[in-house]
Amino acid sequence: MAVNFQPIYILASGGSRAVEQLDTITNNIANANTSGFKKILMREISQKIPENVGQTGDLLVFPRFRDTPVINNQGALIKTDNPLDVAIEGEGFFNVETNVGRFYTRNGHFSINNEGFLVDQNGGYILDTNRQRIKLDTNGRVDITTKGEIYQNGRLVATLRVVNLQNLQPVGNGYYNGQEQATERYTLRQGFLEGSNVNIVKEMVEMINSHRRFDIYMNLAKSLDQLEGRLNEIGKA
Amino acid sequence: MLRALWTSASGMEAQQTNLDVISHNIANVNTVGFKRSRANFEDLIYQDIRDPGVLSSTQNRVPAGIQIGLGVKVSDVAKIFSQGSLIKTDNPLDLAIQGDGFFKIEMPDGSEAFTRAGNFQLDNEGYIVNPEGYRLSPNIQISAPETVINISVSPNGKVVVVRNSGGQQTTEEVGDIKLYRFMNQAGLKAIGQNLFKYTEASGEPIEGDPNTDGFGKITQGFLEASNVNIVEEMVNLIVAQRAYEVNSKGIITADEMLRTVSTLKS
Repeated sequence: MAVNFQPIYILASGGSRAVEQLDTITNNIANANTSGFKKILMREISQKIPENVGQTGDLLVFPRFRDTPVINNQGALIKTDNPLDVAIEGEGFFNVETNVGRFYTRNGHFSINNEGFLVDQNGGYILDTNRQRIKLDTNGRVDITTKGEIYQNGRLVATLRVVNLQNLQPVGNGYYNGQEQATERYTLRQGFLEGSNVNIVKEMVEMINSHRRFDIYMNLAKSLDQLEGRLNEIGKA
Repeated sequence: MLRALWTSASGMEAQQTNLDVISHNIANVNTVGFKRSRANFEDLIYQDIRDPGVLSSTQNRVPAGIQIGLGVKVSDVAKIFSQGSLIKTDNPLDLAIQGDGFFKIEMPDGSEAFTRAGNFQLDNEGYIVNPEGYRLSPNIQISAPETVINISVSPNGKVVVVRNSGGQQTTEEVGDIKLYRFMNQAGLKAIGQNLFKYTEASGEPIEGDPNTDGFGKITQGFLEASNVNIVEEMVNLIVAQRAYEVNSKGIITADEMLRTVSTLKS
């Protein structure tokens, strides 16, 4: 056939990208109330059309995504009155030891387990500056200073390990992975949790965007299909 | 089909649970000794479309991959055991705990339960019981209630009665109220009727005397109100409803996209 219908694959690929964009947006929206959640952005690649040296294939550029960076800006602090809720203001992540490895989290919803260890909501152990689990007393109020020192009955029990991360990767369950970096630029707030940093207005706009974009790709695909239909009719009459 | 459909559905489901928790708090705003709950969420796993660190060309590695999250779930509904305010009732058997600790209640089946609700009464045998008629443990019995003119409970739990028998006033110590606390009180299991049971998560109860070793003191003639803040709950209600709505928009968008796909071939 003389007509090159490869563009229809590009349009289909564009439609798939719009759907993936929607997937990410709905995930952000679903986590709009998740403590310590960080918004995920879908970033597109800007592509150079290769020099056309007489080959039609070189005209074609498939829409692609480059990466999905985690947007690590501050979420709002929400007062909970729970003495074991700790929010990080500024940089940094708490270090958690789970049975599948060590992770990092901004979700400071902690509790004491039945053995007296400080754990997160999945039962993972919170680590101190020596990367040891933190054991608390049965008695006495827990006081956590802005730098993460945990005091009980006037005694310093441990200091929470807070490190900053680069190249954040979401793992799920509120956990992240990345390259550790020392930081001092944080203030801990006891009795608060950090809300997610999802901006629901932006997400709605992005949702409309991905929807329209999808429609455009699909309409073009339909037009191409109709074009092909017409071509088949030539010579029939 | 589109991941976004289920992602949004998970968001709606989580907000429904949130609404359940909030409305339960509001329903118990006037329940003595009630402790409010808070639903906490966490994100689900991520699907790697492109793993971070793969080679993008012969030399370059992509610093970050493409990961698509699959939604949200309720991670826990935690009770918040902050102190409720005290309400003066002048009833001698209304006891409020100021600070940590629970009263122990003997259940009809012989098991133990714990409560912050100190609205006690005397039953027909003179035992101190809760409104359901379950005895306070360790049991305290006040014999010959008709001669009792005053019951006093000290901040450290001593129960003393003043009797007037034959024109003579006598005082009699009838027992001690003990308090109980837990390594992890958030791990207690609420069973209704203001009662909690201990679990493996909470740890075994630790017994102590009121007003010592970090146990709260007992205040006679007062009740502890619920720690529900109605303004906060209303705000949470609005947040939950809007979050529910926005998630439903995700489903609508995904659905419309699917419709477009299905009409693609005419």
